[in-house]
Amino acid sequence: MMIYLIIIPLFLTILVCIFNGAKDGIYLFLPIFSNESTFIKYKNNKFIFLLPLIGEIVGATFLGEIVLRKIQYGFINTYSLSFNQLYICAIVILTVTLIIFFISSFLPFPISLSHTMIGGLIGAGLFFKLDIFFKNLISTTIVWTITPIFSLISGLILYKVILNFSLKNKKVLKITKITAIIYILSLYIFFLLIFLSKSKLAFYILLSFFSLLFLLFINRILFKKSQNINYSSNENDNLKIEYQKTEHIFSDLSLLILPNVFISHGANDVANSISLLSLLFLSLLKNKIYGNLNLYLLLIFSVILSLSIILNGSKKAEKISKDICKIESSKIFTSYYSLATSAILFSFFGYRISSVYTLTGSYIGIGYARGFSIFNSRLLFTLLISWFITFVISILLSYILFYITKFSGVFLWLSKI
Amino acid sequence: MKKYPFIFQRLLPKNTPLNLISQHVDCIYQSSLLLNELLRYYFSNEEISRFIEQISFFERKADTIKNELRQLIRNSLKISFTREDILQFIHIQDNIMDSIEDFAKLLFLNRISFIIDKQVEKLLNSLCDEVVNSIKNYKEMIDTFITGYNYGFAKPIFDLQKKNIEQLDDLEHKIDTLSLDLGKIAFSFKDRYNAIDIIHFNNLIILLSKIPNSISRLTDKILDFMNY
Repeated sequence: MMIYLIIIPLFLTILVCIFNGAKDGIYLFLPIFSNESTFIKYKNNKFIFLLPLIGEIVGATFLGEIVLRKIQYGFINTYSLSFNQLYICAIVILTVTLIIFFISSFLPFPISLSHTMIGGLIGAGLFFKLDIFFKNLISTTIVWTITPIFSLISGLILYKVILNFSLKNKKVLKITKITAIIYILSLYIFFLLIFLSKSKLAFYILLSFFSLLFLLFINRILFKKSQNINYSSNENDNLKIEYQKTEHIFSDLSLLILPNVFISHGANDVANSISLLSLLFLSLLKNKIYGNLNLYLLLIFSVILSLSIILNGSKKAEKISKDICKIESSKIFTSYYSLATSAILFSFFGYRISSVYTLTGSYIGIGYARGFSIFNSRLLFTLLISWFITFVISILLSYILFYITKFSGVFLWLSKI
Repeated sequence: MKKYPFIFQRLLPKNTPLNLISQHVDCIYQSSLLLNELLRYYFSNEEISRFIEQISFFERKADTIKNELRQLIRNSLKISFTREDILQFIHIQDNIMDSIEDFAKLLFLNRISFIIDKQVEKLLNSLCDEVVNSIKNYKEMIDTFITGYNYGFAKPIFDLQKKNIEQLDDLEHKIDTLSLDLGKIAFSFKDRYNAIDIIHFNNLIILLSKIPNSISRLTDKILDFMNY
């Protein structure tokens, strides 16, 4: 087979990365953009876009391989596929993903890349009569179902903790400064422990990065003069100013954990997008390349995905943010915290989860903790149905496309060249 | 092709009951700010129709907000308070807007034929001032309530709301005293002036004095919401 044909799956993978980044970027940036004061504060600060870039690269490079291997070898026996079959698989599944991405823009619910990818793999398994590892499939399905519920519960508990230990306090500003340090430290330590068990290099990179962010935060909340309140004679105004200052602490916190959100996202989504391309490269360049090929691919595609998030997703998020209610910084922080911990935990065990469903789950959790005066509690159920439909449609669509390619003679043509 | 709302728009609607209540109060506050000048123009026998137009504009806007709120809570969304409580709340709040509009219209409908002496004019002006003050305080209370909602109604917010309620109670008492004085003066003219003019004058006072009563009912509701 001619090597230049690899350009087609490479091109399709880049497209999947770009579309996925644009789609997920909206959801991940939207909470921050919905909050006017946070948005105005950071709008012209390019630092806000550097954090996702660093997060995606670190997450994908150091944790992506766990998810990557699970997708490549965990659902169907890809070892028994010939290179030509693998090539057809990559093109068909990536095409199905792009078709579903396109269809989803006309549907009232979002779709998940992992459900489409794994659905496509099952379709390939059925068509080529390969072994399907049902045990893994069932456990992944269970994880898909429980992650939004998990983030709902964590969102609910965390918001209650923030409410009772920080916001409901008599000296709200002073107490929030202290508890904010505890919140951010606990998350950073959790992430460092996860990375310590995987790679020492990643641990040291993250330790330096988190230390820098933490010191900046400490400097901001403890030593900046703007944090002091000039009390006026109106008590209502004083109280509002005090809560505004508290909100500012939470908007800084939300920004500080943005890399963690994108570390989790990178670990999941980059691995998902490149799983088939990496399989193709591995079988094509076996023993011809120095070092870990997966690592190189994860690194390159994490940059593509994060650029798409920054350039496409953030712009669309800014536009849509005007049509949703303002989300207070304390709630943004809660939702990011919940998303980051849920995603990193499941990625650590090799499970691919959906960031959108997890984020939605955490918002519903905050709603149940009386964080929102009105919210749609039934949306989680709609989302669960939508992932089931996406999964089934991608199985059917890939099966049909495999059939078409077989009977149109593509298999024969490939074996000849 | 039909454009579906984005998932976050369905999860967290742009308008929340608290936002709409706040917008409704804002209409009331804006129209109340016109009352003093309206009275001044009225006493100096000048044209007041532009005030009526402005107040009617705010009333229409408040009605739209009220209907929007009704529509919002009719949808199958989860709300932090009971639907009945919110409906009752907005109904009482809307009564304040109606009182202001009725007051302005009543002034427009009939010019009192007798000459109001300076003391009565002063009393009526101070009644109007206190009503505007109570609306302003009530608006602040609603703002604090919304801030409080986002912070789980912490103790400082409770304390502040109690203080706000005390201030509103004082204003209600002042308004009651003023309206009684004015009522007495109005009926003391019964042998000298046209009966319709006296009833008209009395109705004006009743309409203004109704406002703090409605506010008082609303503050009780706010306390209930905070304890819910």
